[in-house]
Amino acid sequence: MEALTPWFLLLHVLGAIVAFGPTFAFPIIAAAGGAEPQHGNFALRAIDRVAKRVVWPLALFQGLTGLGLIAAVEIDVSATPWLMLGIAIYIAALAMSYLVTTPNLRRLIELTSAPPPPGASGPPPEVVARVAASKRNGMIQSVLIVVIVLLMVVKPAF
Amino acid sequence: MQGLVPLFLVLHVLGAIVAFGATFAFPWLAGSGAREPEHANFALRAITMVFDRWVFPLALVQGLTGLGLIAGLGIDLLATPWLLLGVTLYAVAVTFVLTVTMPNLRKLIALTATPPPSGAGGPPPEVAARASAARRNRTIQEALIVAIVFLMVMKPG
Repeated sequence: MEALTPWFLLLHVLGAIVAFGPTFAFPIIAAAGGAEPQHGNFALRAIDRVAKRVVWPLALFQGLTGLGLIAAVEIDVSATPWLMLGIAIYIAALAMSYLVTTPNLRRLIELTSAPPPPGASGPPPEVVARVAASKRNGMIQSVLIVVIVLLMVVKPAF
Repeated sequence: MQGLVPLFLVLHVLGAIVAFGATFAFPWLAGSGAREPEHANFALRAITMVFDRWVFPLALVQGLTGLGLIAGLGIDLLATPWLLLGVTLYAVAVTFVLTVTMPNLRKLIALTATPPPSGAGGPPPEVAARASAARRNRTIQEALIVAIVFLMVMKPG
């Protein structure tokens, strides 16, 4: 099993790049959609598509290669606080994405699928509130990813 | 300088995720635009925006943190073939993106800025050719990124 360590590590690093990297493009794509409301719904659907087809499957795969690494290196997780914390934050990030970020995005897609009623001076209050929530969620998840990477690279002793 | 190695390493790994990882959204964004031609130009402009504001500046920072790591660890670049190859591939990738990928993308944006003439059966031949070139360029870039990560993680030889 130990011989597989470099391969699990390679898949784990590549997985981090391909799974979490696209999420850093989302705020720019969303802002571009916000600046051109006729493309706003498209931008949100494109983000949802990337999340569903790339981010989610590979984020889960990331957990598997992580488990592979733990098994190959024979780490005692319960005796390795930085790893325990990293795994806990990874689970928290997945849970947040599944329970908060994705439902909010899907509701925004639904709300923006039809043009606003004639005479409306701006987006409906629910859209404004959900866009703000979406920005906040994105920031929280970015911070979680940065913290996980920090823990995995620095391996701090507590 | 050696004390800065963990910092450079964190920045280098984060840079790889944030700079190169973001580009893995591009094929899906372009694909969505191709399926909905009324949004195709927007999709291409969004890709360019992500590249100009995010990917390119951070890809350059990636080079700097890489140099920081080399200096911090005191690595002799010329005596480390896998690193020399990785740095070369990085330079090739940056050059390729600047001289081939982005000019092609910007030309595609210009070509799709106005809707096709009424009665057109499909996209103009130049658009089709450049879209196909964009897909090929993407494949080359992804292969370069995977090769660089392979070298940096496996350190062969």
